[in-house]
Amino acid sequence: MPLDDQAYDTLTGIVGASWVERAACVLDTYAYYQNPETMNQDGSQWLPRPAAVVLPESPEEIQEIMRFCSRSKYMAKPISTGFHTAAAASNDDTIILDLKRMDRIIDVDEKNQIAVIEPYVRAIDLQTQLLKIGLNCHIISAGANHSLLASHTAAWGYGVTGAATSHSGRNLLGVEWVLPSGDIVTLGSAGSGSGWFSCEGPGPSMRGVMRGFHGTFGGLGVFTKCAIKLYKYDGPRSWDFEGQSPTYVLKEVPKRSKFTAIAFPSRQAEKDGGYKMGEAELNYGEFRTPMFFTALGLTDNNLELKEALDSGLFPKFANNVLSCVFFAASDGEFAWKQKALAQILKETNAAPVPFNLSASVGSLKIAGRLLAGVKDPLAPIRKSPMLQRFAESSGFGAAQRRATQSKLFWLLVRNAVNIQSAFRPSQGMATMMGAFDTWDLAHAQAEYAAKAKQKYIEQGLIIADGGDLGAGGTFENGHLGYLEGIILYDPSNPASVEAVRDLVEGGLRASIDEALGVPIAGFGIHANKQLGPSCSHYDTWVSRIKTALDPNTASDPFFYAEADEDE
Amino acid sequence: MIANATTLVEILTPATADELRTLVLQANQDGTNLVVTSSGAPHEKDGLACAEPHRLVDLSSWKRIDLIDRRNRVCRIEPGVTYSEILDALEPHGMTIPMPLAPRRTKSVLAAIMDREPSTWPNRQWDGSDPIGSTEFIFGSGEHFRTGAAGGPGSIEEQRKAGGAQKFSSGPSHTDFHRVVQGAQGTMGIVTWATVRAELMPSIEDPHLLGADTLEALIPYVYDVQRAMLGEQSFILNRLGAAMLMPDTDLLPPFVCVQNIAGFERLPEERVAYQRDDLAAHATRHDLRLERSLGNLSAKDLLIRASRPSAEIGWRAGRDGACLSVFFLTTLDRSSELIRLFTECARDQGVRDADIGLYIQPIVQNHGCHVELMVPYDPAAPESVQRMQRLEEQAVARLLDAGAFFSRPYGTADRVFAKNPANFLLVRQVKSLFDPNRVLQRGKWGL
Repeated sequence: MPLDDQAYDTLTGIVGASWVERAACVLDTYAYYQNPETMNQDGSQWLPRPAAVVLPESPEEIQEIMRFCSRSKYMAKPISTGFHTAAAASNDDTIILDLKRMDRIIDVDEKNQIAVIEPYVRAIDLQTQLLKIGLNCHIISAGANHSLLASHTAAWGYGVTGAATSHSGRNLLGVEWVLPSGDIVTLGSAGSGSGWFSCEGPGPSMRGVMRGFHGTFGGLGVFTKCAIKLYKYDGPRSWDFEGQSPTYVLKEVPKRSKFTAIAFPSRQAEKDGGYKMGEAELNYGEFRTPMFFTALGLTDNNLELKEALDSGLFPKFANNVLSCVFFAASDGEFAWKQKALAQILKETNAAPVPFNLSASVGSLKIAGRLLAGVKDPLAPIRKSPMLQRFAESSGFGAAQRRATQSKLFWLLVRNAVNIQSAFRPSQGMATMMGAFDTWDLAHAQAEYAAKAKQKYIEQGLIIADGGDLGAGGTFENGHLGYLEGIILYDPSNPASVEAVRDLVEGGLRASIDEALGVPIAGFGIHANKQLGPSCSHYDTWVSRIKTALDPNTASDPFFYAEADEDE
Repeated sequence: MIANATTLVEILTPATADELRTLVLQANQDGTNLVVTSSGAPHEKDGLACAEPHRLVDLSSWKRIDLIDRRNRVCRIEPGVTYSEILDALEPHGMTIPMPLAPRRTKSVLAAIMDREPSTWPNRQWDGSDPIGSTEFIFGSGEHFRTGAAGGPGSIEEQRKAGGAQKFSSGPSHTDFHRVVQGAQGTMGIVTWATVRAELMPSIEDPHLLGADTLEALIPYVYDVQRAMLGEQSFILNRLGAAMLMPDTDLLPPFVCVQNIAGFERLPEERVAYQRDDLAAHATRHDLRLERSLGNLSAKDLLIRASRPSAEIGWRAGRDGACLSVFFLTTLDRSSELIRLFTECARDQGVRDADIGLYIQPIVQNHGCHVELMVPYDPAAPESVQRMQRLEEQAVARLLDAGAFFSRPYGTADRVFAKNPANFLLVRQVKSLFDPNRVLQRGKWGL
């Protein structure tokens, strides 16, 4: 139901009439997010129409709104950039708090490598400032247009620079939090007036109840400001490029940089390689690039993609590819990293994909025919460091090489993962598995997903991507690993949607049965009920927290936790 | 800081997690107040201090290390494992762990980590809670919980069979409860084991010292090299701090930065060589020099001393029998101002500048730093004790006002919590959930 007049008057009294909207045509723009049909129980592409959309501009206004929600039937649900279905209202008593007016980069403390930001600061906005001063932030693969505050305080996500910039949930250095009651609390050092450098304490860290791995998805108040950790960036501080959308090519490959895609001969070798590169602290960014994604990245449209795959080449060399970038601050460091990488390639019998060879569809077709009887087209390169060096540094194919390196620059540095790329084949993308722990466990999840998908691929219900779309990489110099299993499907085909729901649901069950970790889909009141009993009964604990901090359900609980009915 | 009196009724020594849980459940029935320790005596801070009668749960005999995983660089330890024990266990596997500056011999690894005690290896600490992986604990309510990847699904054995190693600290799902138990000084739960992130053992080391007449001269160098993540263990001491750690040394400059450089399993010599060149370039840019010794203080000896447990009485108390230690967090660029303030307070109490030891430890990849000011004193001299109490009282108040962050509140915790009342209310709410009957450290912090 639309917001009633009394509530409307209250809200306009808080934020002003210009910033409260209850017209259906506007509300419906807040009822459609990324592929909702797989999360909607009825398979609909529409999510509930919210009661209203309110655009506050300060924590104090949000405080008043939360107090209003605490004493009324309405619930608040904050969104910043909003992309995933978890950003949606769960029913028509929910008021969406669209935080796009709160878009200030409050501070960049270059010396201490800390940025303090508001909710609508997009990753690209901050990163553009940071790279110029040799710093960077962790950006999740939702893309550089996502809200950094959301990924650091309230939701999950994997980012391609995790090897060097950790994980958003671990990069939080402070947060200002409007509790469901309307009280405002600032965690850590900033709350004591000591600056935004630590989120822990004094004493116990309340960060332990404010996000967890998954985040609260707006189900436990509103985060209005946060401090995030910044990291060194030894890549180029500026760059010139040529070309036009969607292909921009760097005029020069940055000094002391290495953009490469390493093709391992087996999954075991790929796993070993990930650990070895982590221990050597090589990579700044990395993305496990499954065969289908390798082909996707090298083509500009679906026809080209199909023809590239039809060449038969990709399954022969690209089943176990890690796309990587590393930088160095000195010539000595760069030489050491080059040498270390060469050692690792040798130890794992891996080869860099020769970027100097043409990847045009025509060339791939010819190469596919010529190499039809060859099992491993990269075998000569695997065995010959000289050939590797030739592919990486000779004048032959230099322009082609630079073009491919540029693709990796946009992907691994600028996080230019546009909607077109992942969604291009079918307009539908869902994901399964995705528990954080070791690189080995990450692969176990990817293998599960690949196997589980086969049945649906054979039935033609999801895209025939070979099954293995295990996407992710290592984190913190190989200390952690992450892969989620991507599924590409047809959102307009109910049977395809149903197949995805089966897969995600099956993944959740397999996580329990095979001890594969809490999956990326393991959040919210429904998943909590499924997972909780086999996960320390965390479901009861989050319900208790919800009850204690939000006794009147002022925050939309759906994607977090319901209050404890026994309390 | 200086400990308050305690009223100990009995010492309990449960042998297993089940027995411990039974104790906690029983305490919920009969109202027993439980205080936990896993380190051996002497207890230097007042983490065990409890104004109310209590039973001490002593877990110092829990010594199991049942996982050492080289591939995933992790180990699992029980609360009573000391630094000597973990270092000895990891060494054959080519690993070590970041550790506090020369912890006393009886110090529990788990206790130090759960207290967020800083390690000397700042660029290995990505998050304030590191090196914690997963934990298992028993809430004050008596309920059992596992955090991080260990939180499930599946048993620990099943998780390992699947390829997991309980390395990730967050979770399960919406929870991150290890952070609530960490820093809580036993008020929220009792940890029964934790997985701890290990690091490769350096195969070669080339430690150096950088001396300076002022602290300010060292700080820009530390910023540069920590940002670049160059080198390994690194920290700053003043002359007295160095002498407390290394008696019989005569450090020439008033301030010294310890800078270790290491090679590991891969191309170790070459790694040390390029890192030394790069570090030397940073040093030169700031008019400093990498030296292998200063005066009769050798960088190698100092690193060895810093990286192994010290005697039963910690190095801080070793000189005069006791030491007032005031420590807080800040950022390096604000540290000088806060140190100056402490020095003023010390002068007011008749303490000479030369009698103030200083230890600065960059933490979390130098996104902050631990500043520790140490005044050795004779605990047998009542006027010394009173003087230290006055100094602590005055200094903490002024430091708090000036922005020092007492993340680990000991002694004057009330004042610390009063700086952020909204956070304190939240802590109390969470305490009510985790320990509804207040059986853990009843009365502490007014929770």
